[in-house]
Amino acid sequence: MDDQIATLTPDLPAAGHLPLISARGVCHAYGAFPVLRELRLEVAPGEFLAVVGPSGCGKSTLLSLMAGTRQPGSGSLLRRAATRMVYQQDGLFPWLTTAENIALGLDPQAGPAARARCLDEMLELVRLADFRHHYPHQLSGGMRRRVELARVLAGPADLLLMDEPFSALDYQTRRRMHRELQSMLASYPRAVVLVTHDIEEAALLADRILLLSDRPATVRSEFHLPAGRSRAIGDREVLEVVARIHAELAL
Amino acid sequence: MNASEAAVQNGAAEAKSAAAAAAAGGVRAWPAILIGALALAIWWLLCSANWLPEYVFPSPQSVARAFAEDMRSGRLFDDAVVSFYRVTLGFGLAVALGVPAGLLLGTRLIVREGLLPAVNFFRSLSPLAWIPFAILWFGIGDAPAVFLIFMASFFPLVLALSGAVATVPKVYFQVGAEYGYRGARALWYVTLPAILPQLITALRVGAGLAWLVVVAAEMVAGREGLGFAIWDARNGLRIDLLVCRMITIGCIGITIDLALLQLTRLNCVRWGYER
Ligand SMILES: Nc1ncnc2c1ncn2[C@@H]1O[C@H](COP(=O)(O)OP(=O)(O)OP(=O)(O)O)[C@@H](O)[C@H]1O
Ligand SMILES: [Mg+2]
Repeated sequence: MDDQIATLTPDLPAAGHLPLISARGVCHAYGAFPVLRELRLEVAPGEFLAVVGPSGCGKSTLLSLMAGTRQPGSGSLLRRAATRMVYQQDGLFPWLTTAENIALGLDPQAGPAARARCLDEMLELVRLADFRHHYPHQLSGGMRRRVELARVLAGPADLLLMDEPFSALDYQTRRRMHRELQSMLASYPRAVVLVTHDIEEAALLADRILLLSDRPATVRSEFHLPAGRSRAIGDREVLEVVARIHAELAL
Repeated sequence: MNASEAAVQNGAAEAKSAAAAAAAGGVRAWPAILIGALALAIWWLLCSANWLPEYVFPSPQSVARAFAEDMRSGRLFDDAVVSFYRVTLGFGLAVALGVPAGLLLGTRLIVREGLLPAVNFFRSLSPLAWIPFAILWFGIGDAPAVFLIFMASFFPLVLALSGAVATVPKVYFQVGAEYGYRGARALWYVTLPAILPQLITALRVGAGLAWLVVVAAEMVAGREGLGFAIWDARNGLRIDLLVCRMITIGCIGITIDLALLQLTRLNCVRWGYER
């Protein structure tokens, strides 16, 4: 049972107000190929942090460090959170149905009745109750992403790591997923680190945006948004942050 | 927005019903039956024209008579059972050893580096080249045939599986590790289901090879079985019996493949064939 929850186990016990992740002077390299440099960041409980950066700058690497599946080359990275990852590539098992894929994420400590109830709840939440016996290849791209979101939300993790979860979707589906993610997080509050290329997406969903530099990446600048997640794309603060990021990137 | 949502779900439902139709046997039988009837008619016409004597090119009627004779004597059935038994044993052995070997080669780089050239070497060697050794080591009967069938089907199976394992997307293992599948559990719950579609394809190819080889093996190292029956018919100049036994071999081959084809209808492997 021990390895069942290995990645759920944080480095340190959770302590209400302390940051879930605190990274200090984190550097990482693949062999002689530096990817992250002197990275410093914190993730507060319940916070929605977006990380924006150029392709190949090390965003996925950063998430794997936060998940604990990779150790930083140097510097310190402390985790006080149990984490779950939404992968950049399709992370569903194609040989399992919607329900079986979501069931992977259920709390292994919970009893069978509680697990069944939670599974039904998750299927309702992502509106896939009618598709519980479908296989991933029988679902659309947006539906598959909803299954993945249900899988990470089903468990006891308090920090969700999302690696460009919507980048493969068309514009309309992406916008719909933004709204659905907002409402899912309203019913199941979690801290989120969202890696994205999409500046509008970051400004729409996040409380705080970190802009990473080119590889080897470090935090280049930081933008704050007023807390509260029901922002819309036309809101003044969203437009303002987008404009500031554009200015910073000289776009 | 609701309308487009409904459209998405409709699309998925349509995709599903098409898949269901294919899974429920979307292949129609009548075109094949038509071609078969046509071939039979041409065969019959050629024979009616009397271009070639019966003992070189037997007519459908005489083959049908030979078939009845072979059935009545029970010989055809006995030979088919013997050949089928040998294939089951030889191919079963190849699967029992080949699947673990393929998994090992696929998951351990050092094992792959060490053994892949050897596996490739033996795969390229025609199983018929082993016939002298098969007879020297095992004499006549079941054992040499089982040995030859094993040599023919083991190496391609190992090769196909190690390739399948080595190309399982890395993200499946990351997801598996995240949800507690490590070591032996990862092998059972991630690797095996991920390669199952290719495993089934490899089984079909292997079974086909095994059925090919059993006939050759029995022709030289058997006193019974369909392969021996072919040789026996030739020696007795019974070309009608020869054709009847050839047809039986072909039909059993098709039946074996159709049986294995049913495995591809399993829900948990459909994804591997629908891309
Ligand atoms: N396992 C690995 N071994 C060696 N190099 C790697 C490995 N993973 C990533 N890299 C390299 O590290 C750099 C950062 O990769 P990473 O996947 O973290 O980038 P990213 O910011 O997520 O990119 P993208 O936005 O395109 O997803 C890339 O240049 C990549 O080539
Ligand atoms: Mg990435």
